[in-house]
Amino acid sequence: MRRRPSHGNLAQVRETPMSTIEVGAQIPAVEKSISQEMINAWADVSGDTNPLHVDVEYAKTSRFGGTIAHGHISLGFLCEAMVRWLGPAWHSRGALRGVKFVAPIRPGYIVRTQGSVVDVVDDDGDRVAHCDISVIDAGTGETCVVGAATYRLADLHEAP
Amino acid sequence: MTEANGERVTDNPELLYEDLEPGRTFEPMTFAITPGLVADYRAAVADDRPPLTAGARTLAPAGLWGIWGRQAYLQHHRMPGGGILAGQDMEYHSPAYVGDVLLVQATVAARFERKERPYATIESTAHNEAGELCGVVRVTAIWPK
Repeated sequence: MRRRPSHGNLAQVRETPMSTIEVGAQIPAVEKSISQEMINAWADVSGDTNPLHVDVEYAKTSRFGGTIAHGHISLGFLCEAMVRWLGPAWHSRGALRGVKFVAPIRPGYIVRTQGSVVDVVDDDGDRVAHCDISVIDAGTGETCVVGAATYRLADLHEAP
Repeated sequence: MTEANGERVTDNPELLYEDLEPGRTFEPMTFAITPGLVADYRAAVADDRPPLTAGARTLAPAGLWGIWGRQAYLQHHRMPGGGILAGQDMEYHSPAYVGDVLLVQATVAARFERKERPYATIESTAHNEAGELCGVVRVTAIWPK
């Protein structure tokens, strides 16, 4: 029988009630404005100074025709959306899976996360919610990032 | 073992596709979740929520996984120009807190070509000081030839 480590009083902090996590449930959106300043700040905090992101003149000569945001910035937005929705339990029961970066996100975009629960299944003793997630350009509706999220609702082996 | 936080990697040698032998394990490194790092992260992604707490401790933002997941294999190298992030997985197993020092290590999971473009998948793990697995990050990137 698998046991997970105890995480103190995490359960006392706000969480989305498990009863609301069912197929069709919508993940509340997070919306952000993308700027070159944001991209530069991410380069500073992450150490990722790829000129495609931070060198405006170089990026003009690239196939993108200008700078693009780091993919990890979008991952941060997706993480924020999941934590806003599920609370701190995401930190021990969540996962982003198969996230793909399908279109560039450029300075000036306003992007929005979106997602919903597409399945809830028993998986090796866990009750697991599967979600579709994405980041879109709110101006055009174009999908820029797609992927999946999973969240273990409960370990069915654990005593109530 | 090295400390990656704050290290500037621009003077390091490039991590070449030929260097990514599947099964290669990179040197472990420590990743300190300092208040300054968390503040910089939150500013960079415009996260204005109150920090999540558990008792007296403050949870580290989940998006930090993207930083150590990359630094784990670039601690002594830099990406060659033109590299592009193609895909990513991030698993959360145990919370990490501000003040924690994680032990991070990367392994080359796969190297392959698709449509004549070279890809590599690198898996990194992070454990806290109690030895608990905090997270797993898998990065798939298109590597410049």
